[in-house]
Amino acid sequence: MVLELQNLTKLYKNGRGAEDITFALAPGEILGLLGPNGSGKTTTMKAITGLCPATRGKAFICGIDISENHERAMRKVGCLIEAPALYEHMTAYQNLKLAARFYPAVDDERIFDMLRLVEMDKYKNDRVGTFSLGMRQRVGLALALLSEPELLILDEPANGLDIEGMVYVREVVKKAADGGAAVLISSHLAHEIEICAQKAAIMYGGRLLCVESMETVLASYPSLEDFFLAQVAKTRGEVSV
Amino acid sequence: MTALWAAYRNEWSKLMRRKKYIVFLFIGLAFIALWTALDQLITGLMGRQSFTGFSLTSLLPSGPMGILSFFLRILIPFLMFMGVTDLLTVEGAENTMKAMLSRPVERWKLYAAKILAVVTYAALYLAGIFVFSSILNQIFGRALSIGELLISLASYALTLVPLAILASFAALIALLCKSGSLTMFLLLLIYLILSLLPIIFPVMTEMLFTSYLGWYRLWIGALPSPSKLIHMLLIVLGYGTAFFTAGSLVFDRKEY
Repeated sequence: MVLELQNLTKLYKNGRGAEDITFALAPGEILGLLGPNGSGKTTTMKAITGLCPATRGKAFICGIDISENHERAMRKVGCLIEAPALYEHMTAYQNLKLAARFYPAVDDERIFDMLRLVEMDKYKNDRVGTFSLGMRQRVGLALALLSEPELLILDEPANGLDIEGMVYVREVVKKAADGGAAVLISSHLAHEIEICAQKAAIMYGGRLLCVESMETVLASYPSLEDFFLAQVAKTRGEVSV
Repeated sequence: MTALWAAYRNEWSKLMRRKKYIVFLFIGLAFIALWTALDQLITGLMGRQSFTGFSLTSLLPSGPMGILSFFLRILIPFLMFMGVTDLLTVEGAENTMKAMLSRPVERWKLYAAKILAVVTYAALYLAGIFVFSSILNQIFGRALSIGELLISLASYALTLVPLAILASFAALIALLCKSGSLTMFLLLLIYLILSLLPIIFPVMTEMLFTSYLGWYRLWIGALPSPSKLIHMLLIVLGYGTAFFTAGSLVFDRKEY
């Protein structure tokens, strides 16, 4: 397994967060985390990558416990969590160069390839501070893909992108999975997850309600959205319509 | 080691891509040039021993050793505070810290890299003012002998130790604040208090790490007793270890 979560829990001081998250992700698999805002998707991703140290539970990346050996585990990860973290006073190329220094195999050629891949090569020498939200998102995507990760974590990657951009992100995600990477992608839009993921994990109120393959979901429900609503209703104790 | 080196290079390049740090370097050099010019002008007009007994050099002596204490006490601490604020508080506030934290590097290495980058900037600054003031002194002032230049160079190098401790202290404070302006305000206030305390209570001089900023004076010329030097070294190392360890622990538990 590329990613294995065992009761991963991250609770903030206000008691919110994500609790007892358990699932696994195999190479080439795309798992979509679906849930409303505040359901714990981003917190789960932050706990996996160590941005927020977990309160309890474990996250293993390619068998390496992230809390024990962050450096080794993160060599296998590429991520884009929340808005892309970019240095505004630096150019797109310089931002990628900062990340590239951590990976001996990543050279300038690879940086330019990534910028071409996200169609930002024309702007490589422009300061990030002048970029639109969509352009930043593209640079963020290039940063996530830079090291040819075995695990790609994308938190709402379609944010700020136009229709073409969203289609493009889907293609990039599928291409990464075809190349053998495991992809964990989050969205609050069921349609997005339904189109690109093979498995869906429903999160609600900081808890993981279920993990189902898309085939199973669509065999019983007209869409992932209906499945999501039914799961949430079941959790609330309501009767599903 | 590779990750620490990569993190250090990144922090250094982030710092150097901010124009203000280069501008401040040139301001320092311009200040030395201006001071030398003023000194020459007054000395030329009135002679070094003027009839009033006043000489500009008595206020701020020129030459590499003369200007060191001025830069060491005022400008360099200010620039170091600015550096740690940019690399720690501002990165936290602007949400860019996670760009580095989501890379294959342990947190303590990233923290150490940030402090090292700020200390490197202080070293570069010191090197700049040493070379520039030495050249100006050779041309316009009393030419220094090789021995005197070497002693000046050693003083500049020794200064880096207490400056590194000051950077570790500033980094710890920077971690505890959420806004850049608050960090700068707090750091300047604490630094001012720590600098004034030994004047009001001389007994505190040995206890405060800021007192050791001028420790280069103890290492050159007539050395104090070995036990005094060891005692001083232990205090300085103790402060350094305590500040770095505390800062590293805070950084390790911080959520971004």
